[in-house]
Amino acid sequence: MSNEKHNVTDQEFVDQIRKTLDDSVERIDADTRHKLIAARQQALVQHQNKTWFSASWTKATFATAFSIVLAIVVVKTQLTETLELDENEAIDLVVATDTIDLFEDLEFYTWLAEHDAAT
Amino acid sequence: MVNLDTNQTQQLEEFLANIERKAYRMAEMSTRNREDALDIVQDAMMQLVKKYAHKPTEQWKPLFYRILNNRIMDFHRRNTTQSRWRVWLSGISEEDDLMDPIQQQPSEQLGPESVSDIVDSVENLNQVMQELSPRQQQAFLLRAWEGMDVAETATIMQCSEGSVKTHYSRAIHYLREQLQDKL
Repeated sequence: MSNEKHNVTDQEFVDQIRKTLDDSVERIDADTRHKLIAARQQALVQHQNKTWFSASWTKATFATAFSIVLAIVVVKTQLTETLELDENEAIDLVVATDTIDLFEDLEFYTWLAEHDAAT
Repeated sequence: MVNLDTNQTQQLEEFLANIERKAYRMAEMSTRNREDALDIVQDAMMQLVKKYAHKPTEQWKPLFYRILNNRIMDFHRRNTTQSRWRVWLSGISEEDDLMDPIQQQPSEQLGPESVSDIVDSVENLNQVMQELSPRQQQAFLLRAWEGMDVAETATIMQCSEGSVKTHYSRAIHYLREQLQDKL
């Protein structure tokens, strides 16, 4: 019982201190209040700025990366087309060579046939 | 860093607006200096916004007080180190340094207007609160003023619940002894 009474007394004492502390908060001078408001605003603005910077930086990074990838794809495509053209030309050339050989062979076979006929 | 929408930013601003004066008083009672207290509160605000703004709103309060109390303890650690160096360099005794009458005076930064406006009970409370150790102050203010339970206070102070009870009990005992008839 005495313990209970002691706790109640403690509670009353704490309530009294709490009230005094609340009063002290109300009595904070105007200059300090303004500085607290400025500190709060600075914390929030800093966050917004950093968020904006972060977002801008991310967008810029993505844009740069996309441009680089696009450039690589375009250059690679052009190189492939060039290579394909070269291959076609090479094939044409091979075919053309074969054709020349065929003609050369044809002339040889014609000469051979004529020569055989003469002998 | 996480993007906050307008509603979240507004909630955060309201939270800080509601807590900033109490936080300042806690820091000021502990540091005994207005500028140091303002720096600590501003730093705590910035850390909360930077690192924990995306957390659920009900977690902001314990997180904010945890940061605040860490900053206050950092302040005392730094001062203790500087004080030891001063003692070592100047060759004066540590006891003399701690009893420096200039340090014992209320901060001149408070200004005559605010000092004269403070009623006796607040002055008495300030003075006696400053005689408590930083940990006793923290335990008492979080429990008695902020109404936090032992577990929450232990989480904020990063110590055991037993330590919180001890700090709180010693603080109450000392405050009652000193203030019983003055408040």
